[in-house]
Amino acid sequence: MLLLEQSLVTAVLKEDRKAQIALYNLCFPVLIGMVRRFHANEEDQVTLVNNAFMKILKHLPTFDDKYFESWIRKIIKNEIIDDFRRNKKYKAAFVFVDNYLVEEAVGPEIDDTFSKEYLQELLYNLSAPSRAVFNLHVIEGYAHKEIGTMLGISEQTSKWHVKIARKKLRELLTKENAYENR
Amino acid sequence: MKTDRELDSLFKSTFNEFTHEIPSEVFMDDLDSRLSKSKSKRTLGYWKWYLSGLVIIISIVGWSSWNIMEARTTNEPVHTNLLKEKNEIKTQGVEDEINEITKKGNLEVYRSLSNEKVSNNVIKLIENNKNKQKDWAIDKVLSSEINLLPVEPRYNNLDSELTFTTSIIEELNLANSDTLKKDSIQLSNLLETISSTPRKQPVEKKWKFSMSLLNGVSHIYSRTGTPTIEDAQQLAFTSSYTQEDLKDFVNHRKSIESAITSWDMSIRMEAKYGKLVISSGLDLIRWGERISFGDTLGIEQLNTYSYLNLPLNIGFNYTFHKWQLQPYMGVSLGISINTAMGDYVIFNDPSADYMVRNYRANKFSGVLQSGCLIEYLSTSGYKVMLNPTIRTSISNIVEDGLIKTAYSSFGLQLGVGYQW
Repeated sequence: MLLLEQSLVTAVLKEDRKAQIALYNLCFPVLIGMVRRFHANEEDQVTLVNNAFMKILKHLPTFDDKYFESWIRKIIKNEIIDDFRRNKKYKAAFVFVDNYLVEEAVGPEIDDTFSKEYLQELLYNLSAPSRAVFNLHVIEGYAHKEIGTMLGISEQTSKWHVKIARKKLRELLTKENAYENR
Repeated sequence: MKTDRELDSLFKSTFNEFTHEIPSEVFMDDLDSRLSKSKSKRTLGYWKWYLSGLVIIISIVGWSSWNIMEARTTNEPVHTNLLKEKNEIKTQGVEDEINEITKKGNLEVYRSLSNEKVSNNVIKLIENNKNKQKDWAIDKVLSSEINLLPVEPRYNNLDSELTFTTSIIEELNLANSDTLKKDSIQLSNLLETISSTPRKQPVEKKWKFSMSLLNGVSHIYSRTGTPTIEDAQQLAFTSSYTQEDLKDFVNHRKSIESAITSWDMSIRMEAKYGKLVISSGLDLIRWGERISFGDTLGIEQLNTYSYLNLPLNIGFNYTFHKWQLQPYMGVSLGISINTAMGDYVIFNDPSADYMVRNYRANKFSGVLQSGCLIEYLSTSGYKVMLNPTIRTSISNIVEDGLIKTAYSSFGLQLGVGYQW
């Protein structure tokens, strides 16, 4: 859990550059951790992380919540979602497919000892929209209806993306397992 | 890992824990440039207010100076000014002398009619007054050089010179001296000659052009457009949003968004033809609103969108002495000069979850404007002006799905200008 010291807030509000950098270093792991799951491109990561940090600086004078970490998570999440909504290439990629079954798939037994970096790489194999929906639903815990509202897509489209993402990830993990068991 | 739940759990447990990480150089360089830019942006903001203050001060000082200059160059008869100055002199002896001189019209007359000694103070006062009041005619008459008088006076304002000369003749007639009466007749003849001489009539200019710089403040209030069900569908609200919900959303927006006061500036060029005035130029207009919402995020957002507008106004000019009143109205085309993004709060139910969304202002905007320019025009062509304005955007400045916003404003500008 991130702890925000009052002395740091005071210094940041006085526009002390060293304090601003210290706050950035404090927020960075949370911000980049989240952005990295959505975007593989470093340029996108820089833009989104720093956009979010500028918003944190802007709204810091009005921040009176104890939960700093959840506050900055909400800011970076909104930044990521806004980026999807603004970006026409992603909008076009959120296609609606209605003839699919939402039923739980069952696959072969897979060894679940994977590193964070490896799982991150697997996520990059998904299309950007599927990765976004999978992240929001599975890791962030949002309902499909909420995701639909956030991304401007229907509930069904959100479910479809999660299904596609799971299928792809399962295939990749199975392949990796088979390779290691040879 | 057989089920979806197990797969989800693998990703969730791995990614919900973060490890400490130091930002790379790419991140730091970008951050550094952003922090510097935001500082210089604020500095520019201060400068705008300094500039506004400066224009206001220049306007006030300029207006006062012109007023003083105008008063000094007014062609008033010598004795009127003497009476004015007399009031400022406290010494009783000097006052009496001035009364005597005023009655007789001139220091020379006074000297010729009485052998009284004139005090130095009075001489100085009258000499100064002579310089100010262009009393060339009386000098010439009294020094018997009447025949050498030029037909055209040395001064531009012929009418006031003639009036002045007439008043001298009256004063000379009042005097009990044969010499002065003779001078009076000669001067009357001269006056007749001057009056009968064909005078060059000044050509009235048909077109008059002027340019001015105005600076002021505007109070901006937003007009929230009602979105349609189709707009809501874009955000997947179809199942939950009804027409009533949309109205509630609009009302909630109105309750959390408030008006702002902003700085604006105009360069105005106008052409007058008789009473008709056509004006154009450049207007730097700012629209926006303040948003205060929620306890969790504590959102206190100021959205501002700057536009450079090209106006075209038509108006009528009414002149009252040196004051001019110019009611006008027109349209203008605005081009966004920054890539400003506004933050708005989107919610299905404001008591539940909500989102803060970025919206970009439209690149172009149409504005309907009207106002009433009040000008004080000095004889030298300079003018100071007050410009109460009303502006309203005829197209939405921000328009994307649920958010539709147009703006209106009323403001007051103060400015300085020059008329050719």
